[in-house]
Amino acid sequence: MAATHDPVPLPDNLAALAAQLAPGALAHDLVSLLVDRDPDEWNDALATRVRALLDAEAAGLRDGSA
Amino acid sequence: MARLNWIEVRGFRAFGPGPQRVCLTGPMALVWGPNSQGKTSFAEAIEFLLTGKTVRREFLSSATREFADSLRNAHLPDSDRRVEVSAEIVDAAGVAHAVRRVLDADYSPSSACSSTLRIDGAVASDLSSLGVRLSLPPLEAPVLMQHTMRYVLSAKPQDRTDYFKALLELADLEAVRGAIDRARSSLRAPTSPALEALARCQGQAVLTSAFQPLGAGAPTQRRVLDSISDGLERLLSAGPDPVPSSHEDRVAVARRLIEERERGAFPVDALRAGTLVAATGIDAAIWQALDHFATLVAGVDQEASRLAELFTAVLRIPTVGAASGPVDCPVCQTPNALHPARIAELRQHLEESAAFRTARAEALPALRRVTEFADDAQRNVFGSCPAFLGWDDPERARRGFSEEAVIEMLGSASAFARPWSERIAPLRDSLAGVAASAAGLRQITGGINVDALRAEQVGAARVAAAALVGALSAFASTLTAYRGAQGPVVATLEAEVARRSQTTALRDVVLLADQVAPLLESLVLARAHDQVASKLDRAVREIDAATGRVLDAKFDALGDEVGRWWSLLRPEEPTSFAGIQRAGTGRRYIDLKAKLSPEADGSGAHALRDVVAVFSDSQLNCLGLAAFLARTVRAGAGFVVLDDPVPASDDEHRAFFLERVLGELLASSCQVILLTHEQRTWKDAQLRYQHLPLNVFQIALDDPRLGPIIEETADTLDAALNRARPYIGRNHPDVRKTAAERRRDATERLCKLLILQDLHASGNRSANLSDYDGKNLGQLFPLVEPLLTRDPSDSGKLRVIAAQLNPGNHDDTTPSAADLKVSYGNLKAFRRDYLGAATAAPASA
Repeated sequence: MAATHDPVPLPDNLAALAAQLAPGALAHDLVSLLVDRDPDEWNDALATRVRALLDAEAAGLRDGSA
Repeated sequence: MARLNWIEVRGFRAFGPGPQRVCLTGPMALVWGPNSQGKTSFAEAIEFLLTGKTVRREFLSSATREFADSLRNAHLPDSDRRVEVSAEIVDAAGVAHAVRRVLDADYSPSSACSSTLRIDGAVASDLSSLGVRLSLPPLEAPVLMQHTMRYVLSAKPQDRTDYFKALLELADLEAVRGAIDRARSSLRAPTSPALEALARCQGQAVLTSAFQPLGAGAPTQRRVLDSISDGLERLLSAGPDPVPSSHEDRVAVARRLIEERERGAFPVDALRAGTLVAATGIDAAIWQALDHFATLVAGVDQEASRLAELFTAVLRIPTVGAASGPVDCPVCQTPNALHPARIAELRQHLEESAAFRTARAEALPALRRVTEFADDAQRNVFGSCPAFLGWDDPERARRGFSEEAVIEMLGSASAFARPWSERIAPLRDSLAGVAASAAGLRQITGGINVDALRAEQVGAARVAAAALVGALSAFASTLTAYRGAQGPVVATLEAEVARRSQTTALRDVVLLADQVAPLLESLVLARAHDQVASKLDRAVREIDAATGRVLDAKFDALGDEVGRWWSLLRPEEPTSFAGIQRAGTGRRYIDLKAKLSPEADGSGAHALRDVVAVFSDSQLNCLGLAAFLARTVRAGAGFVVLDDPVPASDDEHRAFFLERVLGELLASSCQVILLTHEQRTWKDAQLRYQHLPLNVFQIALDDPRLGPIIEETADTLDAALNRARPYIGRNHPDVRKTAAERRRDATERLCKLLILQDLHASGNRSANLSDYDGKNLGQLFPLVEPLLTRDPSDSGKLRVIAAQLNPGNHDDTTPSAADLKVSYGNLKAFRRDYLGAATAAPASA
């Protein structure tokens, strides 16, 4: 393998961060979403979560507009 | 933790073609060599083995090109490309592994080096499988060199922050923040023509009160319709007519008003390109029908075909149709003219004539389809062209259309005119191309008499049809380009026409009335966006605050570790390292704090200042070393390489380094490779840790082509005695003279060790071997004699040794072989009796 070396695996500070956040809050939800997940998947996971938030908000508003 | 058994370097930086191996059998290796002899090359070789690069390039070069071809020894012949560093690494389970990194490509002016790492012959990406854990960049390897030690202090503030964050391995926190930032940034407010029209309405004073309510609360269809209706009422109430009560009537009145006001205004719609129906060409079946019929036409017996109906009538006559023998012809009455063979021939001919008629029936519509294709193509392209292209000059003048008028109408947006104008001529040309191709095809099909259809006519039509398809494709491209340029021009002109006709607000409200459902959906999405964005912003603030608390805890812990190493190096000083604090959020900057005490021993109330402002050069150096050691221990590195960690100018802290820092590292089972240009440090370390199985080396560079030579050479009493042993019992005067010199060195070392042992026992732990450099046996003996208390005869034995050896060092008679043998035995006895286990273990191989 003609290369230097792979990136050092990231240590898990996320659990410490999550512990500093109020359970149930969106901040806690977002950080928990990333814990134990491959960082390469973070962007997709967050984008999906944000999309779901938008859809939920929009659905609630549509219900109100019916 | 992993540890090293040996390291071998070949062709790397100063190292030449002869592999230089350093065996590391003990917990600490001590390598001495004057400056520029290859010590740092050796340290960098270990760094290269571990990381595949040298961080010196990142730290010291102002441009990457400066490090081009820097890893391969410049003196290696061109044919010798082998640059490699090998090692035997023992993993946590005690299993030894052969590790080898080969340089594949050196640094170039524009690219990094590349290398191949193998563990036990198998290619590997890193050494993590052996328990060798690297830290995050920039300082990944547990290798301390001058440029890495001072990096923490010379780096820019942001880089320094990154360095300490790398120590704490907080990159995942940064990555989390970055990922959430990206998610937040990707949240885009929805846009739509309806929302844009709504925004314009909300900005109109007369409409504000009608549409402002849509900016708050849940959007509903009722509220949207109410706003639109209210807006229309406000606009129409300014006119002469009464405002209708129903929503639909208000919209209709608004439309009529717009039409009235804009009548005679600039013909904006004439610029708009229409829809072009995609050309599908002519089906292959059409051409097949024409080809088939042309073939039949070429082969048919025209006269026989003409008589087909007559033949049919004849064969319908029963005497002919059922004839089994010759019969008279019913038409010309020729006797026996129709015999069975002739009747069969007539039947065959009639069948062929039927196929001919079928083919003709198919060829006729096929020919029409080809003509229609030409007509459709021309109609299609003319229909998709902007209308103004079809106007002649009088018509343009009548409608007030000209390119100059367009530019004038565009006003400050006249820059849109040029790209639009530049696309008119290509569009016109391609339109003419379609018209010409269509005419050509029509001319061919128009000249065809289907009953005399020839294959070459079908071929010509096919070629013309293909040309028309090509012309249509070219037209489609130019139309697409025109449409792209047309967009901003038409939008601007529409706005300008509306402005001049005072229909802007009316148009916007009517647009909203036409798009109630899209507007409602856009409002829902916009409101959802705002609410999610607000929640995400709050979440980011909470995460930032939480990250700050995590950082505080981490920095406190790291600060304590750095401070512990600091206090080992510089105990009880009035100025000391206090800790690491984040500046603001800590995302970009941190502060390294110094504690200033009024008392000499560091006690008392203290003040905090930034270290970069108050630390001396020596203190900054110490902080760099302390930070590195904290990182190494934190990372759980099994070994550490220290290249001149204490500057020669910092003599007062050298003893603390040898005594406390090395002691702490060894106590934590961290294998130490100490490289130093200070012979005194090298000797004192050997003495201080003589109870350990040290590996002691000297490195020297005599021939740059050969590179540094590393030799294992201890400087202990045992080593001195061992060096004297080969001369025992030899009678040649020169050999005996050399033997006396060797023995004299050993005796002096014995005396120094006895003195030091006594001083250490009495509490003076800072006394070092080098304190007695330059003292000869005559000066040492009075200090040692009182210490020889185990046997009354010991003092005399030592006097005899001194007396015998003295001539050996001068131009006197050399001691006899027997005398030398006796003195050697006495020296070994002194070592055993007075120094005991401290020197019992051999310190050299």
